Amino acid sequence: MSRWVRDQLAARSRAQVVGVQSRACHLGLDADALVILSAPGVPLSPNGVAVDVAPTVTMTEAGFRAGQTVTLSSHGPGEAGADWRVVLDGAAIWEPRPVLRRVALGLIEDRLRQIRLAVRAHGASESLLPLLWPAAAAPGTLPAALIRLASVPARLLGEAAIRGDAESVAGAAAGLAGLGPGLTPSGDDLLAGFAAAWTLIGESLGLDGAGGREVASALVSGARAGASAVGRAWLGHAVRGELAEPLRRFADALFAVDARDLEPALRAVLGVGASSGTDWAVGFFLGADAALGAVRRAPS
Amino acid sequence: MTLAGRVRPDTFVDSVCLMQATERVRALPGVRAAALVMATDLNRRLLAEAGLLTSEAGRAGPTDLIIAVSAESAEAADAAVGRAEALLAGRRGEGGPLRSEAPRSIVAAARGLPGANLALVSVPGAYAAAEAHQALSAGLSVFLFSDGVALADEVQLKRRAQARGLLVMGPECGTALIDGVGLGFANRVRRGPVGLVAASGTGLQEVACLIHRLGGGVSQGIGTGGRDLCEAVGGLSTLQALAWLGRDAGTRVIGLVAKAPSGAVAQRVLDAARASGKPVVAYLAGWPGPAPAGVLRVETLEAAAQALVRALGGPAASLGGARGLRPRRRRAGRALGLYTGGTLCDEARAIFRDGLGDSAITETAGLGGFAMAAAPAIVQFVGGTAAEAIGHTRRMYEITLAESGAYRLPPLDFRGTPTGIDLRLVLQTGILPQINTGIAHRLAGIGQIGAGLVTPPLQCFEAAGLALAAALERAATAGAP
Repeated sequence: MSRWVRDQLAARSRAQVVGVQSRACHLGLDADALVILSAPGVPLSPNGVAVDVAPTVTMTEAGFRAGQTVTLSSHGPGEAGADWRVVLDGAAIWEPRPVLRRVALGLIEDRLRQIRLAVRAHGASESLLPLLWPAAAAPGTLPAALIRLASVPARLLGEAAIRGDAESVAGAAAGLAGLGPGLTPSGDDLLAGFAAAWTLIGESLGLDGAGGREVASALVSGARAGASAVGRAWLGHAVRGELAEPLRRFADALFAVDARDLEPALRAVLGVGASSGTDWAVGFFLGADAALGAVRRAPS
Repeated sequence: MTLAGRVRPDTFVDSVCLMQATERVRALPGVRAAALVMATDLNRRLLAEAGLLTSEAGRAGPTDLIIAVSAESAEAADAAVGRAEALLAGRRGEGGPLRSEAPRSIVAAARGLPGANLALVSVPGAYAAAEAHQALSAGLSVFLFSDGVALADEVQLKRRAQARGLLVMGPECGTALIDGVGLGFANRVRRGPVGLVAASGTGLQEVACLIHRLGGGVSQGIGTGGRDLCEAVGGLSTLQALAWLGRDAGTRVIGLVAKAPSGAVAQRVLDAARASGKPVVAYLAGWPGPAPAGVLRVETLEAAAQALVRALGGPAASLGGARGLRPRRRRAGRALGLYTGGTLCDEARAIFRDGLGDSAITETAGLGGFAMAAAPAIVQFVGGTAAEAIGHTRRMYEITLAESGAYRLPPLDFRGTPTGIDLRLVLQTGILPQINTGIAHRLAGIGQIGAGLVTPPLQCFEAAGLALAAALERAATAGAP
């Protein structure tokens, strides 16, 4: 399970099933804290616990239903009256935050430039990819409407972040949260990618901590009302630099001494979900541009 | 044009399924546009802009899923919505199950290969334990090729595997031979009745190859990981492997290859080896303790292979002297070296401790250690400095008769290399010749396995001094009038 889940369970252990997918199950610890029970083979999330479920059995077949109660505990009998008890004895703890090191601005610029084309080449077509490379979509269609609705807030988001204008950041985030297809709508994925880049690159380049955190907080508060429950949870993790497994590998590779793992890691990101990985990557590039812009703008 | 739709309350369907369902619905006859999206505010606006928002969808909440279809007829629209519902419910006969079947994880691969019982994990160390746990959850034993796995994770994995009747080979398990299948870096060797348990790499490979050359064969070669015999891990995988080989009908004798085991763990493992009920040959590099009855302790990998083949009752075949590792009688004065890793090097180190290679001959000509001032990199092998390299050369002037005019040393103002060891000076000063040595494997073709600094034993100079004195005395006597 992720380190974040372990920390959360120190204070409470009872949750409610809020959604069931074939190989994962969403639990609400409270209004703001979501935990994902994932079956073996599902990449671990920053809020994830991998549980033993037979490979051929779906979560629904295993008996999970929305509204059921679950206790998660390491020892003892667990709370009485719960429908499920997840036993955490012996669970390995996984750190969802990548290993950062201080790097030069030019190095990050070079590495992002190297892999930018890979996003275009391998990214999902029905996604927010045209925000990085304008592409024509048939007018009146859903993809065209998606890009039209997303393009202005995405541009404003980057500009506002560079200026450190928290109010505008929140407004732009509201214009993206909950927008688009997917369990985590494309706009939610983009915001999570933006937040991850802003936090991690900003930190590795020594961007002003208070200003950076203000922008990150504005991202979360702006997206709160419109984002899906899952998207809201992942955005909360992203602003702390906590990422799902393939995304963490990408971030590890970006800051590594040797860049040889970077493109394979990016391709793995692009393989996440239907368009989630691509939307996250688009957000990451936009967030990286903003973080680099803010660093350049900051007094040396 | 007809618009139809449905709202599924509180529905969580993953993105790939949503995309695939959307594509299939869009491909249906008469369908102009279709969308399956979460009912967030912006998505309702999005649907409105695309002309796909129904009145029911307009009232949906963010945890609801909207199915919206625009079609040429009401029938086509209703049929498309029904198909979308069926696809999301996972009904068969709807164009096959959603999701790609190409495995992208160990568990997905296990689903596609019923009866699989082993997973090979080779990912960066930070992720390896999690992948291995997932394999164990799927009922698979694990060949854990990855390194960089924390010791605590290794212990957890092995305990969990043991509780499930599974085995974890590794971490940093480089080789194994399981039912004739080579994993990692494995050698193609004959199958036969010798079962091997070894740390993870060169030791297992070497013994398996030697057994093959001696005419024997290997039933199973089980790697356990280089830390399995440390105190913290307690030999969990080794004990399991020994028990398995004890029960394995295809195994008649067992070879145990290990290096530097913890004392208590070594004893436990040897007891388990004896309890297997089969003849056991044990090579435990760097462990000085005795072996229990029923376990034959050997000192080299070659001896292990020969003993294993002999234990099968066959004639004691020879390796033709190609290997021929034998402890030497005389100890070197000092040997500092960097070895390149693996059981072969542990073995070489144990033997080298008691012997000396032939660099001693070539380097006394005034090259190598005597000229180290000009090539200080060699001291880096043992953590030394350039100043120390110069110091080594300066000391050699104390025990040599001449300086070479052909090879001069820039760091010493082009002074000639010290040349010509004077036995008397060695005995007078106690300074021993400095030798830089490459440590080569004894089998031709394997190459260098280490390098370092060594001095020869003083005893050989003492013996030479006595012999010289005797010779001079004889000469003096013979020449006397």
